[in-house]
Amino acid sequence: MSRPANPWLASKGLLYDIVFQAADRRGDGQLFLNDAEAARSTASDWQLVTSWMMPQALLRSPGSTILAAAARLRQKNLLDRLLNWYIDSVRSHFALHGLPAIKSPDISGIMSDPISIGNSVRRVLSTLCDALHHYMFPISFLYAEDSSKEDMLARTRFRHSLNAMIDIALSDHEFQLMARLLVEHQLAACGRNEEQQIIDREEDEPKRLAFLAGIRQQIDILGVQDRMERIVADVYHTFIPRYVSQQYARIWEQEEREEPLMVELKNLIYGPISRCISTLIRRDELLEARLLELATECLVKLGIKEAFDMVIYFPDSIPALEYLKMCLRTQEHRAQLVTTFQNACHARLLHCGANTSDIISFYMSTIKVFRLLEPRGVLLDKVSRPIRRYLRDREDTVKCIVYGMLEVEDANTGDLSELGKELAAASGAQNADAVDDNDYFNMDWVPDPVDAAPDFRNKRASDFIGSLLSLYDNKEVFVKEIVVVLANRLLELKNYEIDREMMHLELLKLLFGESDLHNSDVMVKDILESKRVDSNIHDPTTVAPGTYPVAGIVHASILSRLFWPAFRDEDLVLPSVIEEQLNRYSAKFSILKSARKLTWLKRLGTVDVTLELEDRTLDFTVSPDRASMIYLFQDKSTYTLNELTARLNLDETMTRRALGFWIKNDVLKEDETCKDKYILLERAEERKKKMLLDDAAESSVQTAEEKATEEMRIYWSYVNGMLTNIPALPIDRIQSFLKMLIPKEVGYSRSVDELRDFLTVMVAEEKLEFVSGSYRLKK
Amino acid sequence: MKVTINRWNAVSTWHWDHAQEELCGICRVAFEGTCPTCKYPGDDCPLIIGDCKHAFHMHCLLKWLTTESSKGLCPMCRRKFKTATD
Repeated sequence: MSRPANPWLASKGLLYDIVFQAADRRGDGQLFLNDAEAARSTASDWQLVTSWMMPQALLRSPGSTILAAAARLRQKNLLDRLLNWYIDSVRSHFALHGLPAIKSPDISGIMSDPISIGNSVRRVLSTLCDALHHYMFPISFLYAEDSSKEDMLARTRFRHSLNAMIDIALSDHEFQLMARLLVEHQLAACGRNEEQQIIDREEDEPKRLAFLAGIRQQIDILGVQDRMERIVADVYHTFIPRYVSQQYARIWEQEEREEPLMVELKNLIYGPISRCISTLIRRDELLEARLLELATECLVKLGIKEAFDMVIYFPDSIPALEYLKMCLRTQEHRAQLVTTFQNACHARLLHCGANTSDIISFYMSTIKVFRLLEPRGVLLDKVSRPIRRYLRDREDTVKCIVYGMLEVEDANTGDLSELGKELAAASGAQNADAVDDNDYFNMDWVPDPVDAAPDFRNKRASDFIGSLLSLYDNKEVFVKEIVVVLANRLLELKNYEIDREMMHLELLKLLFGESDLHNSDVMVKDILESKRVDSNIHDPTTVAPGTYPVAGIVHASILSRLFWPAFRDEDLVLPSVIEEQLNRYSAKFSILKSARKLTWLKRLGTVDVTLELEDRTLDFTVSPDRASMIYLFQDKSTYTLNELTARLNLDETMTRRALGFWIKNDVLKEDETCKDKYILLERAEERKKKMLLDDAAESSVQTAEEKATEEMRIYWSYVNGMLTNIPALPIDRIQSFLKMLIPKEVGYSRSVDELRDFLTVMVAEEKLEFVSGSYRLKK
Repeated sequence: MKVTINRWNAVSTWHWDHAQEELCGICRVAFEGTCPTCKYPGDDCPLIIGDCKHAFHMHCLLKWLTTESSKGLCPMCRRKFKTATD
């Protein structure tokens, strides 16, 4: 093909062929002179025609001699041969002149410029059109338009070979790239784009469409619609996902868009994009539907990917969730959503770096989000399993939940006050939106989706308190913690105002049942009773004549000790004034309530003090130990640590903690020259940066864990006996022995972890030792 | 420096001034607790002390005294139960 076809050479071959064909036809193998004559005249005809047909720069219409020669060649059935020769010469010509002409100069230079890319594509296409026109010219004279069947076939054959050439030219890598870029630019121009305003686009559109129509025309001439369709399809398959993820990623709020997302997308696809594509290629009825499907699919994928963030930004992400809900139709999507979400949870949430309160509030948002996505709760059930499993293993989960429900503000547990509001709200509408499967008149009933887990059961809808409480098999853990928190709260009260606590208690009773919280009832009543007794004691009219009134600064909370959590029974030396007043208070109490006495828990309670220093007056509300300590500094402005512990009857840790408080408030300072010696600051000093003991609020009652360990002590005799018989046992064996040995009346239902805590305490008390994985008695 | 204590919120527990025993001899619940029928301890569920110095939850003892077999005796010492007057 690369060899230039020489018409002369071809005609020589032709000459021989004609002569020998004639001999063959007669069958005798002899050559005659008139055969050669005929051949010579044919050859000159051939020459005439071929030299006219030869691809040249200028097109010439054929003269009558040429047409006559062509007609003679047709009579001799040589047109096929002529066509073959012509195809050959066209190919060589195209390879020599056509292909180099369409090679674009420098594609990398124009890559980013849509206009020059468009021009390049047009240039290539118009070159090809020219070539096509050029090559087709002689053929139109040889074969008339409305001629015989054979002629039509010949024309088609030529056209096919031309198509092959064009195809080769267009399959060039660079052209493909340019065409892609062109289509991409065109599609991108349809969509939303940062710099371009919509108005600009609308003005722009007719121009772009006209340009595309030009290209379409050329494509139609060249007959390469298939190729273009392939390119366009390819491009929109990559373009739409990219467009969706660029435009809609992390945009969840409705306010940011002027119209709903789906409508916008639909308008875009049915509007500019559809116009653009159908101008460029043959119109396809299903095109828009397919594109919209594609876009929806992309939105779902995006939504699935972003579900975790949507939960974080809930409720701002509600509009986006509505879309996700709308698009989430297939089982694969649901499965994908569950896996993606769970993976995100593991990677971003369920690790030791996250606060328990954050995990809980995330869990609450998860519940809301997935209830929205699917009211039946099957998805929720699936995605929340890992979160629930993880929360169950966290030590402070119960504490956080209880603090949240009781609206305790605490730096360590974070803000879960939402739970408190939820508690108040939930009690009113309890069970309201539960779905009853046996309600045959409920026309909105839908069956559980097929992917529901076998042990899925429809929990109460949108009740996170219920969901959180169901983390644990029994509610006892919560009750214990609630009692502790409530006790602390009641003891911190001033002026016996317990409205809030009473409200909380009533709400909690709805959740946990009356009987479990009976002790708390007594606690609240104690405080109410204390208020009455206290006002009675302070009432001047009841003071018997002769006895001087009970000084008015002591107000007591009088507790029924069996109904409160265990208190730390530690002693403290109070200022003598206060001691005296306490004594008088209890004397008065014994008069009011005959046959009853008071025992003071001196470390508990709160004290309001005013410090009048030389240059300032400070007000504090502090614990009794702190108050007693600062009271001591009235007599003397320096104390050593040992003096303080002795005078207050406090242990060293507590003393240091109290000191830390006063140092932090710039009332005391540690002597720089002498360690453990503390000086009163009559005049405020520049605060020095100093590490201080943590001022964590001290709980006045034993925590639930401490209590559990205390309760385990009844099993000590069993453990002791066991280890006397068998010298050393691992914890699992101890656990199984205890389960076996302890009689039913006593009962044993502790977990291995609780047992371990208990044994650790025993090791700390030097009753046991822990050697190479086994416990044994300390000798 | 002068420290003024404006208010001292103290905490205390009450108990019955009856040191001999801790548990009610009838219901075996601490005196500071309640008899089986009561909900709140203290004023709502007082003690009763007999001449014999035995103490019980009042409700427990009254219930005992209504039974046939009690014959009005103290369940601990079998003496005639009479409320102590002091």
